[in-house]
Amino acid sequence: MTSTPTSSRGAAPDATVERFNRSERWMHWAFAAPLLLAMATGLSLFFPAAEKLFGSREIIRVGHWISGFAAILLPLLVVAVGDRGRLRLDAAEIDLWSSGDRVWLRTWLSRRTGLEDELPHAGRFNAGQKANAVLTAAALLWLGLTGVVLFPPLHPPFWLLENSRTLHNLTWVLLLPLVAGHVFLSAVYGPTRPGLSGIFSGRVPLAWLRRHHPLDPVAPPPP
Amino acid sequence: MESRRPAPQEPGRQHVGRRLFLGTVAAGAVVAAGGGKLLGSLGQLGPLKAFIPQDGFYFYTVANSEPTFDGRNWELHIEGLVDNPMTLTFQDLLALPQADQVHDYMCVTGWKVDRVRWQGPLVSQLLDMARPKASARAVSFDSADGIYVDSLTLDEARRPNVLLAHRINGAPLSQDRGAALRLVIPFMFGYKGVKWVTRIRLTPSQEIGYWEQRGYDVNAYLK
Repeated sequence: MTSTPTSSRGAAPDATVERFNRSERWMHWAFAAPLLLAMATGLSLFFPAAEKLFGSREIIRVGHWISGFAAILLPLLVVAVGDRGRLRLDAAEIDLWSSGDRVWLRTWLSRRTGLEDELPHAGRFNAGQKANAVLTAAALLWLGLTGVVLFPPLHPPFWLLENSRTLHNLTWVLLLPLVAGHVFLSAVYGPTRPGLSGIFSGRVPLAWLRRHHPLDPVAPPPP
Repeated sequence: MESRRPAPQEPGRQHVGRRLFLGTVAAGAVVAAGGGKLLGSLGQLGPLKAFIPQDGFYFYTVANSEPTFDGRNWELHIEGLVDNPMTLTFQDLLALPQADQVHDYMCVTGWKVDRVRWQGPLVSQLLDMARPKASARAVSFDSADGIYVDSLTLDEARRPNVLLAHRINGAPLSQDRGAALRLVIPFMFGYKGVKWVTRIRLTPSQEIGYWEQRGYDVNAYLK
């Protein structure tokens, strides 16, 4: 029943529009799902009390290896077989910041009042989403590098193991608030939650997109 | 990230994302280069203390339950390719000459405990008493749970700093640390040090231990 006009005036109030295509959705879940699993199993590996819940360290350790490697390799697979043009556009959108993005981030970090009205208009991604994406990518890189060092068959010198363990664990700690904040804003917080469907079906309410990402070059032009 | 796609509505955009990514990666490199002590000191902060083992040893589960030791009904068997198979009680063990050595304990997962004091008989002493046959080339150490086993070549086992400790830092071993007896090999990673040892077997060739079956190196020499 929902009609989805892409550029017509007077769109139905419940109209939806495609925000993320299949490659973009797969890219998100290709690292998000294994990363969540790797963070959970990693926590269990660190706390002996948690691993006893599972009976043995064995299953958690193997699960951690599989999910850890998957979080690095699956995104590469999506790049190999997916819509690289669209992924490249997203990467450029995340990389390139307008002056409005800087103001957005400053305002958001220092805001005393509500989120809604003080922030400059955002593009395809707002500055918070851009920062989250960049920091998560850097975290993935370090978790992957240090994780490979700690992978059993390598047998590297102890100083390398020690520093890798420190960075691996520290990255987990720093990544947690990013992941928690991202989940909160995408799935819990009322004003931004309508965009959640975009990462499952690809489609979001047109009215929401125009309000939260009015400068998205992929979005239909305003009426 | 290379393709510049200036969004039409914002011509003056800058590569903030790229700079943030590289800066974050560089910060990680600083930690990797010298941050080995960082988390250790973080672990001493207030509430975190409850989650960090205060004696420095992290406990890794190998079986669903740990062998218990109450000081009675405990025997150490020395068997296999020996001329004089032996069964020793804990009292017999205490009557032997006792080594008293201090070594750093290093785990292959990147943590270490400095200057641990170990007390107990040398493995070479027990081997001399059991008199290995000429065909014996290696020594296997079996824990009471039957799961945690590992091995050394006969030459490695005879080194003057390989001992079977029943005391750690001046106190009897706790259950988690391997009571009644654990193998201490100061020149190898900790996973070779079988806990709850109740059987020593002389073998014609070196057997593959518990952790080596899970990917770790048989020759666990510290580097």
